Amino acid sequence: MERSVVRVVIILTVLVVQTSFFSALFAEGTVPLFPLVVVIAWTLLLGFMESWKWAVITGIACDAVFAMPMGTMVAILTVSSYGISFFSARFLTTHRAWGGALLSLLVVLTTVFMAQGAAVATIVTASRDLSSEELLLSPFPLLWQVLLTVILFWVTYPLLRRVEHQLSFYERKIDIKRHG
Amino acid sequence: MPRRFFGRKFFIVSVVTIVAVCMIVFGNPAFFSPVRYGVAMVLAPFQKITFLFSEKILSGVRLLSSIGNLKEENERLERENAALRAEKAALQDVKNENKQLRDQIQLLPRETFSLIAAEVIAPDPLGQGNWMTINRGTRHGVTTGAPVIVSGRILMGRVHEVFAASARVMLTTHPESVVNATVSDTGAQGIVRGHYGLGLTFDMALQTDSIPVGSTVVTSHIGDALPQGLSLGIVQEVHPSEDRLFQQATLTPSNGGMRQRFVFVIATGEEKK
Repeated sequence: MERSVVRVVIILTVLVVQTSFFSALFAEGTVPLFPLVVVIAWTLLLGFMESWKWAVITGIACDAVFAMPMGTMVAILTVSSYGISFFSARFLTTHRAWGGALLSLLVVLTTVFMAQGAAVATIVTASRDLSSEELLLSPFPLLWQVLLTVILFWVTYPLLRRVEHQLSFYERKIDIKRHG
Repeated sequence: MPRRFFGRKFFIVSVVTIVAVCMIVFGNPAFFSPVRYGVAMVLAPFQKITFLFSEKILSGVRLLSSIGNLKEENERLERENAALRAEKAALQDVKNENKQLRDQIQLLPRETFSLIAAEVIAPDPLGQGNWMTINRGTRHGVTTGAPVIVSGRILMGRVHEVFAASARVMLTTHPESVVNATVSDTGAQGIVRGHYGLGLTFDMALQTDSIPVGSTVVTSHIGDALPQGLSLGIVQEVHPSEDRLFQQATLTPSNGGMRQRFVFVIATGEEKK
């Protein structure tokens, strides 16, 4: 129960920060994707079987706040979570530097996937014809967005790991019964 | 082992994705309105606080970065000020003449919008400049479809969704946005469309019409959804459409993207007398 409440609070905080802090602070097209970062961190910390539910909840909340067609962020975040789980299980090594580099690469790929997916979903659901130049985002802002998202990931991941560690610590209950 | 990995996880992700895609393609947006409404209600007060905080940080950063350019900036502003003074003097004459003519034909002044001042509490979350959230909603008289402007006559967009104390504005740069427009200098008619992350395009202009680079495109009198003469953008580049039937022009948006803090909602259907 405590875990769920804490995670819901984390999702709401992430949405507030994404919608009114990051989007105001960073230039158009370069805004780091905080919800994606949190879902990636949860996938790495909890595994896909636990994190996919939170990816769906985060996706629904994002769709509600981002004014995206409902289902867009749900699909993007769940597929991203699966992709992270799939590749991290196969390629992540215990070597710190290689592990970190590979993880950063996965964050880069999922960021591009999310930014591009959101663009495609908006244009597909728009009531007019697609143009090829609109489907592909400009590479320069996207590069910044990727870089900022990777930095945000490496700031957020240790914090979330600590939070999850604390939560798992408090959930270990010990029942002490009085005898006699 | 790989089969097991694919099995359950792949099934979950497939089901979720198929359901989500069905929701995107066939879903009724009105069905999810309560969810959007609820989340907007919960987040709006916090968004205002964090947006103000981000503004403080931004102004600090801007101040630091502008210190080096102050002298240059000051000289430029002085030149601009002198030019504007001259322009003002010239316009004063035109204004007086305009007033006299209006009095003669008993025409109401054009700039008589009933405005609702609003503060931006959240720009586009994905940073594409397609949306913004303002802190005025149904409680304050904001209605769906109402035009949102800045600096008097610059069109930002239209209210897309209204909540109790906030509203979501679809900016003119959103791919769904289509506005009837005209080139102010030559009177060429067309429509202005948003492009995802690419700004604005003036489209459907006749091949015979003149669209000078640098001219201003404003809302036209066609259709009654928007007041006439609201600035949309400046013509940057003119080229023929793909089918060669019309002319297209790339515009630089007048609204300065999502970097606005205060905007005004034009109360639709109300005009000050």
